[in-house]
Formats: sequence, C-alpha cells, structure tokens
Amino acid sequence: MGMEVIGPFLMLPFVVFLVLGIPVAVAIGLSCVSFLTLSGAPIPPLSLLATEMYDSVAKYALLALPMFVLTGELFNRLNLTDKLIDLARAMVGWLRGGLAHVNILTSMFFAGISGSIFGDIASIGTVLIPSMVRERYGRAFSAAVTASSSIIGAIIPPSTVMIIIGAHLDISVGGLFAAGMLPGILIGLALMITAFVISSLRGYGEMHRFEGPIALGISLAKAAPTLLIPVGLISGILLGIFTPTEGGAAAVIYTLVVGAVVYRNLTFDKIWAALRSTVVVTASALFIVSTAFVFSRIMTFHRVPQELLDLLLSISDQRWLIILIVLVFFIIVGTFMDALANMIILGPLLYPVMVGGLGMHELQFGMMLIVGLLLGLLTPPLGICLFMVTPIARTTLGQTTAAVLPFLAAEFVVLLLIAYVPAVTLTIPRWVGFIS
Amino acid sequence: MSAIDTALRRVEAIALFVAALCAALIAIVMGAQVFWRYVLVEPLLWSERLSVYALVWLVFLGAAVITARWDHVAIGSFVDLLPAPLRAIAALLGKLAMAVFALAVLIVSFDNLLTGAHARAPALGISTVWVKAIISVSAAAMVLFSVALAIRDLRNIARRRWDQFPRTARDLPDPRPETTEPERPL
Repeated sequence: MGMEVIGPFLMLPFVVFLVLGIPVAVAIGLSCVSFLTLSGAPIPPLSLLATEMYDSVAKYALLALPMFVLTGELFNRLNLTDKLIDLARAMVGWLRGGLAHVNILTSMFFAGISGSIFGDIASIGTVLIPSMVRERYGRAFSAAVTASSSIIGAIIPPSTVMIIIGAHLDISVGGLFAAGMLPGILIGLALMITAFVISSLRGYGEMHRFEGPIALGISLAKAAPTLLIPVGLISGILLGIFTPTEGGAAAVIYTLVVGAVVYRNLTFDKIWAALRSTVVVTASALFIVSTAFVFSRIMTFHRVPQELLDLLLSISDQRWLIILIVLVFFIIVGTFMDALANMIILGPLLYPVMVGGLGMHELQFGMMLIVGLLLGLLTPPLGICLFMVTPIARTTLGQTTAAVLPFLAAEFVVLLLIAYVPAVTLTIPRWVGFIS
Repeated sequence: MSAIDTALRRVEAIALFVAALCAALIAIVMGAQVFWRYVLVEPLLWSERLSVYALVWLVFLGAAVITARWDHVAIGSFVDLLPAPLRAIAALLGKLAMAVFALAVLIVSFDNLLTGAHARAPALGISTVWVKAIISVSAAAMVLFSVALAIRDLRNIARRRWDQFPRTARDLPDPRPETTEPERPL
C-alpha cells in the first residue's frame, strides 16, 4: 500500500485545502487527519498526530531559530540596517547601477545577521527602493533587485531555514551554514553582474564618484559594531567554538549591548516588541513544521520515497537528468506552495533518492533543496516575494514579474552549479572540518 | 465588542505574554549556558532541556495567538480570483477546517499526555506532563478562537457585509499613476 492510499487520502485533500485558502499548517494537518481516519491503513495510528507534532518541535537544534529571529527583530528596531546601507554605499555605490549593488550587498550583510527573507524585504526594500526611484531606477527594476536579493537571507549563514532543515533531516546545521557561504556569495555576484548589465543598457541611476579609502574607512568603523555580529557569529560556529544555538544567544546579548552602549537607542519597549514579534514569526514557521513533519512521516511509513526513486529511475537512469527533473520540480512546486512546508515535506521524500540513490552529499542536497525551493518564491505568477515587494515599490505585479526574470535566470545558473558541481557547496565545509 | 470577544482577546493577550516570556527565557538560559560553559568552564546540565521546553510552549502558544489574529500563512491567490460571496464561504471554511483540526489534536493530545506520564525530565526533575500539556491547552484555545471567528464570518455573510472579506494581504493597492509607465525595453 503506497501511492494508492496516499494519493486520494493525503495528497488530494491537501491540494484541495490549499486551493481553498485554508492556512498551510491546517491544510497539511487536516489532510493527515483525513488519511489517518479514512484511509483504513493500519499504521500509523491517529495518536501519532500529537506525539509527532511535539517531537518535531522539541529539538535542541531548533532553539537557534528564535534566537536569530530575535536578533533580526532587535536589529530592525535599533535601526542598525542604516549602518549597513551606508557601508555598502561606500563600497559599491560608485559603480554603474550603484544603488542596485548597495541593495544586494546590504542583503548579503543582513543575511549574516538575521537570516530572514521577509525581514530583508521589509527593512531594506522600504529604505532603498524610494532612494532607487529618486535616482531614476525603474520601480519594477528596484522591486526585482530587492526581491531577488532577499533570498540570500536564507542562504548566507546564519539561516533560519537551514536551522529547520538541519534539525528535521538530521544534517549538521553548522555544516549547512558552511555549505551556504559560497553559494550565497555567488548569488550575490550573479545578481550584481545582472544589475550592472541592465543598468548600463538602460542608463539607470546617477553616477557617484568613489569617495576614497578614508570615507570607506569611516563607514566601516561606524558599521563595525554591527558587522561584528555576522563575522564573530559565523566564524565561531564554523570553527566549532560554539553551537548555532549558543551563537544565536550570544548574538542576542551582543545586539542588546550594542544597542544600549554603542548606539544608545535600546529601550524596554523595543525589547518587548521584538520578543512579541519573535513569538509570531517562530510559531508561524514551526507550527507549519509540526504538521508537515506528520505529513512526511506518513509518506515515509508508506514507502513513498522508494516509489519516487523507482519512478524517477524509470524515466531515466541518467543522473544529470534526474537532478534536472528534481530542480524543475522544485521551482514549479515552490511557486505554488510555502517554501518551508515544501522543504519539510519534500526533504525526507527526496533525501533517500538523492543521497542514498544518486550518491549526492547530504550538505549538497540540503543546499539544492533550500535554494531550489527558495527560487519558487520569485517565480511568477505566485512567488510570494513578488507579492510582498510590489506594493513597496508602488508598481504593478506584471511589471515586477517581467523585471525579475533576468535575476531569476542568474540565480538559476547558480542553482545549477550547486546541483552539478559539488565543490560549490562542499569546499568550505571540508576546509573547516565538517567533512572528513 | 461582546463579552465573549473581550474574553477571547484577553486569552490571546495572556498567551502572547507567556509566549514572549518563553522567548526571553530561552535567550537568558542559553546566554547563561554560553557564560557558564566558556567563562566559568562549568557546563549547565539543565539549560538545554529547559530551553527546549520553553520553545515547545512558545510555538504552541504562538500558534494559538496566530489563530486568534487569523494570521496563518495561506495561499490566497486562488481564492482571490473568486467573487466576494464565494470568498466569504472560503474564509468560513478555513475557520471550520482549523476548528476540526484543532479538535482532532485536542482529542489525541490526551493520549500523548498520558503516555509516559510518570516520566521526569532529565536534570530538571519535573513531570513531562507539564510540557506536553501545552499541546492540549493550545488546541483547546485554537478551537475556541476558530469557532468564534467562524461565527463572526457567519454573521457577516448573513448581513451581506462582503467588505469584511477582502482579498488576502497580498492584494495590491492601486498603483500611483506614474507607476504604470512601462519600463524602457532593453
């Protein structure tokens, strides 16, 4: 008994519930209830529901999630993003398409602190898009740059998505952090090259001169207390000095100290507001994880991964073709579904196929899963990042969609590198000892 | 606002307050763990377990808060294509689906609660029932909130107040006139 019961009693209700606009966590959970009560399958029992929901959350590795979310929330409330923007402006603002590069580079800095995609769009987009429009960049272009660079937040460590995937698939979170560094930088570079070409062809932006090493040094000094968060954090985790969770706690304490002592704008109200937001963001993500975990357990019970592997091998025994099919599948599914739920459901489903069947390293698979499904957030017509950024840029969805395509293509090239060139994801983990 | 609405708002506020305290507790305990481990070189034995329990409370109390605010992640793109009356029905179905799911979790959570009820958390010595009970509490709160929201939807449907069923948060505002200019082609 496999797909013949999974299809009608799990997958079909799930798709119907999603289309009806039922919350993702409930759509997943209710389809599990439908399967466990109606399918007649002897295992697993319905009592699994609460047990597995509890077990999916009660994990030490997941403690890093609220810590990094809290750091990002404090970061936003202490207006630390401005310091990063100033530094990025001094570094790359003088290039053709300067503010687009500033937007992308700030996302890369921001990624090293918060790890949140939507936080990136909200905090960087609201500040930089109006500046870009003032400097005669297209609104849709500005929106596209912001949306496409926002996903770097979940690729450059620390990443909340990596924490969840690592805990869920039992892959080293520190290893995933190390594996994400090079792809994150490559995506940043690919986006900057794309922005440079488009800005040059369309004559976007005002040209600024390089203000010299002294001005750059001053911006660096002002941003240094903020930049110490990613630098200290990432090096500490990668060198194995502390766990991601301890690193998250240290980042929270450090941010509080910087806000209180260096920038002197920390108040109790800001801390309390950050804690409340942390609850909503963390619970929203992990509630989906808790029901998606049950969903993936049911599929594993019924050997769906094995059937999937057989199906893929029946299409072709060419490794490269199977990987390509999976990548295209990620992009399509990522367009229609919540990225996190996708990762929790598809991760355990495809792990045996890609790691066991095709011999891919688990860190490479983890990065392929994460980046592939994140690109779905940018894929027209339903990519959620497009929906978020369009109102901020005060443009239309159609224009944002058209403008994002070149950036999406650039990111897809990096995804292909991740999937086909193991060195892209495995070099840094090997250097720092996550791979022996 | 009715007395029931007021009571539910208070439950939501209490849940958010306790969950925020849990977030603060995790930060403090994990911060203390870092200090004890690296500065005093004397690892704490109870810190990880306590933080994990606080996380479980945070997540399930937070889920109840999100339900009260109806702030769950959902794919609204398909429902947005429907006319307002059908959108209203879909909104009502969402709340009823939440109520049914939460009720199922509530019922089976008692099994989970009783399984290993005698077990004590390592290093902390407290019964794990106190931790697992949050699933039952959260599920009960979610049933209450979603039923209350469903009743509100029903009232609005009966009064034909379709403005109460806007498209999702991703609904776009009317763009300003200058924004509709097409971009220059490459």
